[in-house]
Amino acid sequence: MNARSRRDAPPHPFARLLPLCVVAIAVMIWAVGKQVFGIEDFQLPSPLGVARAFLADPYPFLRGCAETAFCAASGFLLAVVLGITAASALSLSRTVERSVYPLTLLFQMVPLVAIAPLLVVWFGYGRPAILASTVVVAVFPVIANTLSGLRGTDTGLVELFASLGASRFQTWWSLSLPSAVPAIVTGLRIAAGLATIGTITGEFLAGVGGENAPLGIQITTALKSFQTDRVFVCVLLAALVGFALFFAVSLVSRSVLARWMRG
Amino acid sequence: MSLVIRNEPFVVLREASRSFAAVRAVDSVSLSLAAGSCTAFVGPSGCGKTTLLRMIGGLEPIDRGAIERATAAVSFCFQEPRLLPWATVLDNVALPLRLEGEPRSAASDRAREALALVQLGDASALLPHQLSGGMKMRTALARALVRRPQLLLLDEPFSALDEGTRQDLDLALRRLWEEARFTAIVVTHSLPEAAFVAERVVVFSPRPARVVGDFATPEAERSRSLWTSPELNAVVEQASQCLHRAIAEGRR
Repeated sequence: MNARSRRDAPPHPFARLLPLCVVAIAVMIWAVGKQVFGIEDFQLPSPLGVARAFLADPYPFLRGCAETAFCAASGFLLAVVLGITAASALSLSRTVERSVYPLTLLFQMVPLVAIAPLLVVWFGYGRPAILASTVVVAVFPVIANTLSGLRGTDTGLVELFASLGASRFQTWWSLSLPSAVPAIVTGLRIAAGLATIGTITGEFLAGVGGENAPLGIQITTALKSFQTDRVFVCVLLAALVGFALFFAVSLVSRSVLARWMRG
Repeated sequence: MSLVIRNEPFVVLREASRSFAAVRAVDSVSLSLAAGSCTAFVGPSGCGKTTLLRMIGGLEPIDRGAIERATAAVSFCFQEPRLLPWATVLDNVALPLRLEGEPRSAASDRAREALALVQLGDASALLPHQLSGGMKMRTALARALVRRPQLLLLDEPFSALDEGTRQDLDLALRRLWEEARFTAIVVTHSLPEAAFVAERVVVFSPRPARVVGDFATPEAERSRSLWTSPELNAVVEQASQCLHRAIAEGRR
């Protein structure tokens, strides 16, 4: 069997279970390590302790998880719309791109935690500031990848459209944008991973407590009383939100990309 | 579609010239192409015949002289198929009509007709990567024909194909032209192909392109046997001698 046919062959059924096995081994190391080194619960709770903290009263965690997921997904979608629109506007003129793109690059370089307090000043506490924080983190990969995709349109096809008398908008809509889909999808995958980070950071600074307190707020509240097991539950749920968003984007992009990749 | 009177001048070039920086690509070319004619441009590689074709099609500006076209209904068929990789064969062929604002169903109907002309009627649902090189070029040809152009410009459309497929497509192109009688200009490196497809062969010098020969091809009906016929070979021989003289003079 050569390298290519090995690559194309369906994966061994056991291969699908490998990530789960790795997780199980990590949890075992965690549990044994805690026992062997006698680590205090407030420093590192046991896996069982974390499960108990969740099962004792799961609803606040689940409500918080839903709130965080809502903000992460909404912020992500907003970042996608803004990112694609901004990149399309930038791609229309080299002059505009040269003058504006470095600013977006500079904006990306500013650490989120440094500007998050400003977002609270501008948008107040609660969802608007959290959404803004999510967008700030997630929008740049969408802009950068979309712009790169739009700029990489096949010049032969651009000439074909010119020979067919296509307008600038027709060329953008029917050629440049579809050509950029693979690059856009790459940007979306990166943005999906970053969106949850932006949301949790936003929640740390602008989240509001109460019945539907998001995971970020629950983390800070639990840390104040050294309830590390509750912090672990929130961290795991936040990771789950990020993973779900990434998985959803990957699933959609796989079906969308099928035509492009085969080509 | 406006009325085309055969043999009336349809494309007229008057001292048309084009330079790229210090390099002159086309030098004072004057030609008159009749309506409904099929003309082949032949010349050595890089002589400027593609530039001239692009000037006629309006894709390249003219530095000096003038080019008059009796129509705006121009279609290009490029050297590469230039198909949208994500669109089906039908959607690729319907593209020019969709860009003109024709409704999807009407555009698809006309695209199917164009695909039938190039014998690709059963490939309409395929994507470009599922096509052979010859099928891709047929699709590109169907896309060029779908607007029912009055002027069809073909830039070495079959040069990347194997000899057999190329001869098949040359015959298909010739028959399409005989049926529709649009004005066609074919740029090619191959003298036999030029003499087979066109009714007139214009030979260009090495760069900058200047007209050095103009030959009529046999009026005989096109079939596979014509490729080896003495009358076709006679035209190829004359054009070949003319081309080699021009190359030799260019070296001096």
